[in-house]
Amino acid sequence: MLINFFGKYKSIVVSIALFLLLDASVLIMNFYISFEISEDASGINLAGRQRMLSQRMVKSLVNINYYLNDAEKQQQALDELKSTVGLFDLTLKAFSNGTATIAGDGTDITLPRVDDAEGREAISQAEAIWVDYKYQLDSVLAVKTPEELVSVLPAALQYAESNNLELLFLMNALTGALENVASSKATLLRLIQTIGILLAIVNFFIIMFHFLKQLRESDEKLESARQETVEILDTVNEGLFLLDENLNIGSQYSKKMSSMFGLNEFSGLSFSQVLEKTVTAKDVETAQRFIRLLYRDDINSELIVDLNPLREIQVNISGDDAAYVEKYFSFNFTRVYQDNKVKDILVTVKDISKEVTLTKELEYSRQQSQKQMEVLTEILHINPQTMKIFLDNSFKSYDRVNELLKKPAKSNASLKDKLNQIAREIHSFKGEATTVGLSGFESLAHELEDSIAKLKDSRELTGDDFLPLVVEFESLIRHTELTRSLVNKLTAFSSELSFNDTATGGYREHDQWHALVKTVSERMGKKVDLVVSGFDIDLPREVAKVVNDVVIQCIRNAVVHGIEDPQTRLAEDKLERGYIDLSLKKLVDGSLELSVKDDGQGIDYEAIRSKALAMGRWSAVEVNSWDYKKLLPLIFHPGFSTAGSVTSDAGRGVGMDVIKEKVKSLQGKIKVGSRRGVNTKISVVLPQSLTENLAA
Amino acid sequence: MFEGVVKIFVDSVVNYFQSTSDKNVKLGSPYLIENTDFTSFDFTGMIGISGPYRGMVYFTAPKVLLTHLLLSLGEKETSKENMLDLVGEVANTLSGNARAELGQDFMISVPIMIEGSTSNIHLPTALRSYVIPIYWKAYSAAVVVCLDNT
Repeated sequence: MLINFFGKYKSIVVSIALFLLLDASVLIMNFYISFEISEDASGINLAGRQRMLSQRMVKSLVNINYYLNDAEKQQQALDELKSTVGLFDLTLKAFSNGTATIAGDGTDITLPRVDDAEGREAISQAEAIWVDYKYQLDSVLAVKTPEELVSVLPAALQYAESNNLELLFLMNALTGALENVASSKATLLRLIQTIGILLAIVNFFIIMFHFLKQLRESDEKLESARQETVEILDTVNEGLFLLDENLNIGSQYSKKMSSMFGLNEFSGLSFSQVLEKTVTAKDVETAQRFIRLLYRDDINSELIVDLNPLREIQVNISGDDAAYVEKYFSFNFTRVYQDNKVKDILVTVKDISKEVTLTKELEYSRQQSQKQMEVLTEILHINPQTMKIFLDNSFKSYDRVNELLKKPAKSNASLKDKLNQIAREIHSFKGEATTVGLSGFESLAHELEDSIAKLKDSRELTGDDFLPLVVEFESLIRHTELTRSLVNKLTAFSSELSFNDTATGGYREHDQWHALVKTVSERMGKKVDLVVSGFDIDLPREVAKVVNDVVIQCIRNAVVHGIEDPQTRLAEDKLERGYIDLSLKKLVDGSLELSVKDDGQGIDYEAIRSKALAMGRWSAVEVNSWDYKKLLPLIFHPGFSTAGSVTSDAGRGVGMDVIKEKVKSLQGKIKVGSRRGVNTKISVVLPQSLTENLAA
Repeated sequence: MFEGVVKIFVDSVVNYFQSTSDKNVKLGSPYLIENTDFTSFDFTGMIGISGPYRGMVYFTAPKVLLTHLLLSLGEKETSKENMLDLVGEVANTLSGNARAELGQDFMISVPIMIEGSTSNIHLPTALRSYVIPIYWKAYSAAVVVCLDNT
């Protein structure tokens, strides 16, 4: 357990423990030997004292003999001898048996038994001498009278004289032997200390080299790991960073982050601080809620991975010129565990703009293709040349509408006037679309007319009331652009589709006029035939355009207002099928006459009168007093229509006023002739100069 | 929706003018311009927009209008800096209102100010812009909305 705790530091701990153990044993040995040496020192001292005592014994004997006549001094010598003999004997026994004796300071001391061979030898020899010596001395000490002393003293002196030197020598030898023992112990102590220190030094170096090497290796490993991390973070093509529990970014993050988020320093920033400049507030909030979920251990991350709100997110890096650079990032969040708890969240951010843009482009082009397919089915049956003219005219018409919009107008009246002019332009455009047979354009124009009609109803107009109109107008332009791009593509495919751009090359609109009559009459539940004659004159495009506009408006009016439904016709003894006679001819004076004649009900002046009354612009008395000469011009008045309800074909009331203006713009004249219940004829005369221009 | 967004910008500018001493401000009918060039008067304040619609919105006005506007706001110093500040303030109003009204789904940039017509502004050429003229006193300015609403 403990070993596990130390982990990779196990060996260094063992080495240091060994070092301490070694030091401790050296210390213990040191104590023990020092103690022994100090004991030996006492022994040596006492052995030295034995030498001194042996000599004092001799001196005492000699003094006893010398002071035979001085009792007092003799007694002093006797006392000294007694203590000396006792001490010598006690000490010799102590050396021999390891018993107690009296130390120099008068305390008891137990000596170790001398086991050294040399010492033992000296002791046993000394003991051999001392047995007899002590006997002699004891007998001297035991005398009671001077006479007795005189009798035993010579023998003792004799013995002392003959053995004194030997005893001194032996005590000397004992001292020497004890000194040798002590000295060898001191040598041992030095040896042990030397070895101990050497071992300690060796151990130290082992620790030093071994662990320094290990440290250096692990440092190198750490450094190279750090280097690798830095390299990875510097080169990885994604944003990488860790988020802590408070959703703050960690100290290390990939270099790519700077260019991705347009910030230089991320460390310590909160996740929302990084996101708030690039992602909408709503997304930031949802993302924070999601990350908090990841910190909850009880939630399986696999289950909530689909909830990641930043899996494909549009970010907006603000550029230098206030515009945003739009990118798409994919954020991926992975839990980082420590001890089975979520410690951090690893966030990887990938720039998926290319993928997303590509997908969007694919989707866009798919939608475009779909739209183009719809347009294609609409335009396929239409003569390419007609189509091209229609498109050219459309864009011109749009330009005019836009110019009208652009014209400064502040007052209600001027805005209303502007609205009327736009309405006329759009109505005429719609007529053309119907004629050509482009129902898509027709319905867009119709919607636009609806918006215009709504505005007309409002009492007070302001500029911003036009906004919905302009938005619809813009989508009409887009639709036209889409159609044009398609027509251009188709033209490129077929050389037959190339066409003469300088003049109309004769009237090919016949088909369209027939188609228009067919479409409108079917829609109105009427039966109408169109007879076209004389349209083989080459006209400048400008004139041809006006002629076309007049024809469209007039034949439409003829079908809608003129020709009766079959039942009415039959009831009035007319043919079931009505007819429209359309002709263009050059008059003798070189001018051009276009006439549209139908065999319908003729102009209903009473209907015009009722409408005039309904408009409320004139008083009832005034209107009621008008005759047909006064009533007829009203059909050219802006906003005038006698059709009961608004349909695609009639009721907008902006047709005839457009015609009038167009004809006027070419210095032409319009004549209207009508017999009630029989027919209506509208003829337009255009001056000679128009056709001469082309000839020149 | 698109109309609503454009209306927010137009209303912001109208409100701004109505906060001046001469409240009589009128709107002209909007019209379209092709984005081939950056169309502007003398001074322009501009914000970038991203989100469901992407592009730019700017308020642009001639010097003379701004001079009178400054005077009517009680500012006697009609320097170039003050004019830039003024269009910046209008753009700030645009930005503020847009943030308040569209904030949840849109990103609105901080305004930038431009003097004269500059080639540094790159409008997305695929789009057309809506010009909404603003008439105040005898002068006209405009809000230009260049947003991709496809």
